[in-house]
Amino acid sequence: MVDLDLMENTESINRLLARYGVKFGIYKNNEFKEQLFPFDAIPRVIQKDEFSYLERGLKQRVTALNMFLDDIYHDKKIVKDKVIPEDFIFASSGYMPECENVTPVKKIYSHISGIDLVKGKDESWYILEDNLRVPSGASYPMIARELCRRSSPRTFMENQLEDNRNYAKLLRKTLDNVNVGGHTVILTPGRYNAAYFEHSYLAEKTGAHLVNGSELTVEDDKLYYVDYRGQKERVGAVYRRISDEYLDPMNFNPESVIGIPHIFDVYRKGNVALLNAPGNGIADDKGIYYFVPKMIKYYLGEEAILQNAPTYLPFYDEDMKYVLENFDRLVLKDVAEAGGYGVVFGSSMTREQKESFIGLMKREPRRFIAQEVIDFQDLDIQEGSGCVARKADLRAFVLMADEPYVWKSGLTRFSRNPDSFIVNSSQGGGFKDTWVLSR
Amino acid sequence: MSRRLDFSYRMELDFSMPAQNHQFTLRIVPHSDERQRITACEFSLEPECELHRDTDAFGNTYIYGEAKQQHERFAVTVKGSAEIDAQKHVGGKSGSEMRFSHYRFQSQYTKPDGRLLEYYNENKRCAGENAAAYARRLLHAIYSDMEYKQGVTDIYTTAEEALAKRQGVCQDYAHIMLSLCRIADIPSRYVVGMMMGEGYSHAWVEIFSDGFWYGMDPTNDKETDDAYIKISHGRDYKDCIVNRGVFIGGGEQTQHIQVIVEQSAEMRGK
Repeated sequence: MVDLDLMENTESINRLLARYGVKFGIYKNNEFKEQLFPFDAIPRVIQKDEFSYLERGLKQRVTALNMFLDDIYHDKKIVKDKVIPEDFIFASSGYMPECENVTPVKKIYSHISGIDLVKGKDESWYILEDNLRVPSGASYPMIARELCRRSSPRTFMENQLEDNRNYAKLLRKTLDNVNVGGHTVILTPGRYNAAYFEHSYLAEKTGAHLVNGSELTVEDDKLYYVDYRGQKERVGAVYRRISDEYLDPMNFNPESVIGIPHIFDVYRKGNVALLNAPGNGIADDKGIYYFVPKMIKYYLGEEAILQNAPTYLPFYDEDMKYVLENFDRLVLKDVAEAGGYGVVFGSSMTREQKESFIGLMKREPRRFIAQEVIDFQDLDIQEGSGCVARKADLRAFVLMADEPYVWKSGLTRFSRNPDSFIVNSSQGGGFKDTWVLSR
Repeated sequence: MSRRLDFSYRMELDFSMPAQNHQFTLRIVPHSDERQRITACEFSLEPECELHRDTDAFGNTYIYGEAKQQHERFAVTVKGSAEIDAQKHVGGKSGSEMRFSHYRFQSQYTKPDGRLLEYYNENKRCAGENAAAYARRLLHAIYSDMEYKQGVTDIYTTAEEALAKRQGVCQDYAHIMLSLCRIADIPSRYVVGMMMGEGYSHAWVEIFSDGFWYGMDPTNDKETDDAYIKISHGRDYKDCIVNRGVFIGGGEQTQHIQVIVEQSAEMRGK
């Protein structure tokens, strides 16, 4: 199916990616290092039928998560009806009381969602986690596809696959859909951010202004873009690529120098749209993940199409018992951590580590979730002149304009370490293009 | 029987070098509730600039804006009158405790560690003990175990740190009390306000018991009475910061606060 033509070009494509600055910045020991995000030319291929199943499941999931966010910051019915215990909402760092009773334009909270999935050896897909705050990654398969098409046009003539170069158009539609009047901007923390390449690439492809915090200002309760001549123009939508905490020093972290004073105040009044909405952290919290299938049932009256990895909450006595009895075969996650940090495998702990971990878990049961280790499928990656099998996941992107839309591609990340299940880019993995077949 | 009070809150911020593009958010205007009725309230700011007003998610009035021009002094005055009926308590108007759920859980300043947990064990809530009764017990405990002392803690000091020092100011007393109440599963919130007399602003706590919020002032070992005017409330100090600002320039800053609360002139005449 995949011809050698494309594989032979891996090296030259990686050289081009390096030249285009497709990099991933990470902080290690307080030092900023940019590293290339290695590309593997063998794509992940998803059959048409299989993808339409994923599509249905993802739309359902993101629709329910949006309803959940609206409920939590308004009526809290799901808590009153005791579907989710209070502790998992109000003690979570993702819950922001500042967002109480704030209704974003058209009640859309998660405009751009990045949902991580894996395919098990049993051929079924599992949801690993939801990213509803600032999910990054769409630009990588976009540019990789572009370069691959150029280097191996024949491959794309012979294979019938969905074009993924429509992402910019979809994103623009998503941004315009909630724009309250004025420019659309992409707000970046600057070039030292891990995903700066993506910010600039998406700005270029969508035609939005790429701005930093100092170029935006709040006046007469509206948001303005100030150009180099000092001229002000109204901004109606901000695709912000900075986290809630740093968004507005007057409302959140007062030390933030990358935010815009009072942007949250004008957002609350409906005078500008923020994508994604502040406060979304409560919905992609690792503790809340457990409840997503229940959420789907509660809000939509449907069974979840896509399943979670089997998850246990030590918060419940019954689950605690199970976790203690099966400790060695489970993976344990600290709900407060992200990016592959705070993930430990029961089997890899020494006796002492295990004892202290269990002590901590008993003291703060809400802080942890435990999951069965999913034996997920390996994908082939090129190594030297041959191929090796490595663990890989898929980040699917769901864009919410008036209706949810699943982008017919996605970011496939793989672990370069043969023993590792952790594929996060911040942990040094690589990526592949994701092909969705059109017939 | 209510009591009429006149209040004035003046805050001056002096800069050693001119400041400009001064963005500010002020939580300094009290609002009416079941316990206090604000009958008059004037707000003024120097330098003059456009002001915006809104109500935050906690229900506090806040005023924000930007002083663009160069200024060496940023001064705010709030003056007004209030009628306090200490017999009344602020109720759960929505009829549901749900609204106050976020006050049941620990927040940044109140998160307990070893010392607070130990301190709680020494002052445990008894099974079935009424929340207000327990809070009254805590008032005495904190008052007698802490020493009021300025300068040993600052605005960043957490409840855990203040307890370790056994010294602090009203902010620290309030945070310690909040932490203990929340361990005891009592919704409780931080309050900033003014107290009869002349001096600084004050901080205390409100605890939720049997459908009402009760004001408790651990710094003075008493429940709030008609000598207290409330300005704002939130999870802890962070939600109630009176003056938040960012600006360009400014150099060294010196802040002066003067709060005066007295019996209404009208009443005094009687």
